[in-house]
Amino acid sequence: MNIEFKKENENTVVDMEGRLDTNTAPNFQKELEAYYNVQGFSLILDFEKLDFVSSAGLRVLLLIQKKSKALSGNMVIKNVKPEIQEVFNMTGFSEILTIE
Amino acid sequence: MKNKIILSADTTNLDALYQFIKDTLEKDFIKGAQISVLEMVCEEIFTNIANYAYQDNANDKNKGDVEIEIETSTNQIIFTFKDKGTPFDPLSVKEPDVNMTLDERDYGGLGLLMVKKSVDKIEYNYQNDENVFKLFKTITTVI
Repeated sequence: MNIEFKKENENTVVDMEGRLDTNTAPNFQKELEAYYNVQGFSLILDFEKLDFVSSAGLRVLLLIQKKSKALSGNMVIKNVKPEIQEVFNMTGFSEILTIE
Repeated sequence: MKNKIILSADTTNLDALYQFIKDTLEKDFIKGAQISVLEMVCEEIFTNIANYAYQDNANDKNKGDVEIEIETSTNQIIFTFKDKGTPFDPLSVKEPDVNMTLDERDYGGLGLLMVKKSVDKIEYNYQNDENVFKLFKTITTVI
């Protein structure tokens, strides 16, 4: 999976491309650590080029969502493909994540 | 059509598994989005086998193999995973509560749920000292 960071106003936008799976999730978490450990962080994850999210990827998203609550931060996920939205729905993640 | 691959039960082989799925299914004109869902499903099963099936010989470099077969027909794909590891019935695992709040949520147990909800039927058997796990998925082909 490829990850690219860009700054848009106050937000850090993360363009993700490929598969968020058990092999790529640890590195994804590591790359984002510096961003989601900051008080009041604002992250936008762009899923436009993401093919799928496995349960290992969901674990990292859950971790960041928990951090956002603890640190008054914010994580928004945008451009979610229907098949990934389906995974969010079946796991109840659509209720706990902010998806635009 | 049937196609088969044998991979060592190690997650470093996931990319080889994705390639095998793609190569096999694209011959039957199956669309990209459907392939992604099936890759996700197979990732969960393969990772589960890689992490747990051969735990008893964790120190052994030869972690044991997984045989993956894909059988396609006009409107159905059948995936069969076979391993010689510890007997494990994935259907016996209690499903996590998907209605939990953010605070209540823990970090595990979602993979098999995602598999169950993404395919049409699952069968598990332990036969000839092997875990045999079959997934049935109805498909729509595009020609």
